[in-house]
Amino acid sequence: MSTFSDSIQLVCDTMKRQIISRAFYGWLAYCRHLRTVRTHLSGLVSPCIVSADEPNDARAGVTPERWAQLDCREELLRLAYFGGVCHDIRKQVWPYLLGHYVFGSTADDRRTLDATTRQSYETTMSEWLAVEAIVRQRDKETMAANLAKLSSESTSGEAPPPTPNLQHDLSNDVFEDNVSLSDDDNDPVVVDGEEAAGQNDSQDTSDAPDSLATAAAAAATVAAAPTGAEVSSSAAVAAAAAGAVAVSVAPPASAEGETEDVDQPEAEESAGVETSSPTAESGEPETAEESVEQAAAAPEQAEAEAVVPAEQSADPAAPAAAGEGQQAEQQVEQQAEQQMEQQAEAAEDLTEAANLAAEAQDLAEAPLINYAAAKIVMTKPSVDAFPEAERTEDTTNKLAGTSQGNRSNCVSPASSQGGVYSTELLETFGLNIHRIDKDVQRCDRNYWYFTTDNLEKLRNVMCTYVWEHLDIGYMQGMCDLVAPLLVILDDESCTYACFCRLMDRMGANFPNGGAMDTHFANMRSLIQILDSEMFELMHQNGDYTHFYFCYRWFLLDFKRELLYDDVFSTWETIWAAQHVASSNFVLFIALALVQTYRDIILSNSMDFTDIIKFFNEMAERHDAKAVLALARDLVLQLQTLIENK
Amino acid sequence: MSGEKREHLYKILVIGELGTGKTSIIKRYVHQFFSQHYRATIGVDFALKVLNWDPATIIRLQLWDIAGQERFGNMTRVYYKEAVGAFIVFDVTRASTFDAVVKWKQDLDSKVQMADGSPIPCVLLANKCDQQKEGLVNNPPKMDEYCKEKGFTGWFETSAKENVNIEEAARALVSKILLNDKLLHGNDTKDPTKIALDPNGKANGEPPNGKSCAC
Repeated sequence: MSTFSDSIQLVCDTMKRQIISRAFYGWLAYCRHLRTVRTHLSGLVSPCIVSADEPNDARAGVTPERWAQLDCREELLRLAYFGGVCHDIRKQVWPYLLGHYVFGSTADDRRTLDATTRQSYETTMSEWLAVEAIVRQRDKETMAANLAKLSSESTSGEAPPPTPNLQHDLSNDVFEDNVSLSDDDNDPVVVDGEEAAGQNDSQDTSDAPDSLATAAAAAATVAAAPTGAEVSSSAAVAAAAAGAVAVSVAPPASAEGETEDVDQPEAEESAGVETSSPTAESGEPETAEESVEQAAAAPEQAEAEAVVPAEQSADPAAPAAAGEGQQAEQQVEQQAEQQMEQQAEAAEDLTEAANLAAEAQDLAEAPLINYAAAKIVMTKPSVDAFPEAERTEDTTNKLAGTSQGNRSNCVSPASSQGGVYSTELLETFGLNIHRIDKDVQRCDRNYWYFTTDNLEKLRNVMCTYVWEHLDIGYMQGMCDLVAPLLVILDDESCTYACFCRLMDRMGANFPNGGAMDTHFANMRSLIQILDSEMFELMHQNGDYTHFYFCYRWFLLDFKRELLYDDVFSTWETIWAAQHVASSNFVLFIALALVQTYRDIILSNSMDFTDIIKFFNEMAERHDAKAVLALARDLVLQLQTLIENK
Repeated sequence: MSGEKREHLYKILVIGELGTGKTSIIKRYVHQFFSQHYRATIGVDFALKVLNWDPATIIRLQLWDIAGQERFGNMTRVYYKEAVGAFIVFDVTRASTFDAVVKWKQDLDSKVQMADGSPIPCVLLANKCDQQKEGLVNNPPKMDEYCKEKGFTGWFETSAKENVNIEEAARALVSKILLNDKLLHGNDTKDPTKIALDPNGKANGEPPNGKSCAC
């Protein structure tokens, strides 16, 4: 009996020991695992905790008064992190937060930075505008070829003649079917360009005069100094006029026009003086070294000749456009009456001349800028000729005709200069432009800022970025990232610069970047550490630990989840957090969102589809303030956790 | 079981190139509404359409509106999972979107299949047919041929703007799905409220247990 109970006792003891040891090992393994995860997560937050209360309460954020007194970058970031930025001064503060302006830089530094930013932006823009013109022209050709094919083989007769609007869209897609067209690229481009570019122009005008105006302004300032919008547009008109007056002279004139632009204040003066001596053009440029070189390198005669027409129309806004100006107009009209063949010839002359000029300028070590010059001309005159035409003459149509000619004339040099642009590049960029257009047209149309004009700005910024990063290309979502920047900064080149900064961090989130998977993995670890119950649910209900429901959150920094005002404050918190609390603050916002709806998610035991649907429906309904506060709290929580390990 | 109502939940994908009008089609179909101002879809959006198919059948279509650029990401695999039908949308005014149709079809077929391993029913939508057309879509007989060759259930010229053919296209897809259901589950009448979703629809194309109702 006793032996029996002894043996039972023994068995029980053994079982107890086993249970305890199993439990212990289980616990040990769990602890080890958590330690690994913690170590892993410790990289997500900054080791030192910055307080919201020391040295003073930062929860009021960056107010104008504080902004005026700020002398330390850390303090700015702390204020922005805990309290955001007062809306009225966002325009000033954001470039600092994004790292575009250096804190402590002088006003002069920033002005110089602005100027260089603008100049490089405009140079880039002139480059892609030129390519866009070529792309459109090719589209036209393709279209025509397709229609011809269609009408010859199709019996349905369903296809009415194309409307200009459609031609925009139809375009670049059919390249593959029409390889033969690319063969013609080198020379006939000159001729074809006339129709194509011309039609583009007329489309633009009929479609959206406003946007055309902006485009004109943008194109005009392409090579212009910060304050030189007027100057450059007049210079552009000058170039246009020059082109119309004497085609063979035009290219040098355009080079001059560009020089003039780059010269900033001098150009303004000389333009104002109007009758000033030719040396005002070539002699004075002190500010822009390249332009000096260009000017120096440009053939002297050409220079002299060019200067004259440029000067004539340099002040086109003035109604008294001088006798010479009238001459120019007369000739413009004449040309308008001439037929296409003549223009084609002229275009060829121009091409040659342009090549000569370009070669000459190449010697001046600024080939890029030279191309830019050539392109500026091709894009500017056509657009800019309009205001002049409207003011001075009623022959808008005719002038439009000539401006078509001018534009295409100018397009040709670039394309015929020994294949500066490969077919591949044209196709790639064409495809990208098309995607950009699709998305720009439908970007936040319900928000007051996005009028046709401002959408045009958005498009410019987007195209410029994509042109500079053709290897990445346009990805859906980029427009969404540019939009809030543009709303706040309301300046193309500054928006572009800030967007580049933003993409330094965000770029990797896009499909080719691979950062998204890292985000998902981190989310997984974070939820595992901070909310095991939730983690459990995610495991049970169809494995959605892949966290795809966070995709849009991370891709756009919650831009689609929140209303614009909240996007602003969320974004600046994210930017500031990078230096204050965590360079992965987005993770904590995501976590905060999950936490906010934790009970709903748990009680409905949502699966992957449910949760993604739920958050889609909740978009723009979140209490951003509370979510941000919770996110900051979660950062602190993790920081404390790691500190106490 | 004949007196009871049958209810089906079908997951339907709507895919195709960027800007072809996927969202517009869905909004038109579900909300009878059209707007020029839909934003570009990022990731995926959802809509639910309830059809009173016949007196004995209610069908819920869960429409997955997948962003046009997602073909380049890896997420489509997750999005496609358990789908029983799909629309591939192209824009009749842009031939390039039609060229991409075959790529979308391949992507679809490689990532989701029916229980027996055959491709899920897929209807081709030639959207924006109120505008001028470009390419093969001008030639209906050739389009028929194309659809046969590429394995589409059929094709429809649609216009979300003018509300053309969208109901018809959906009807065609659902009929095909129901037909497939019948073929696959011809003997399976014991479950009146069967759910047509296929939890085993692994991308490798060899589902171990057939459809869910067979479990």
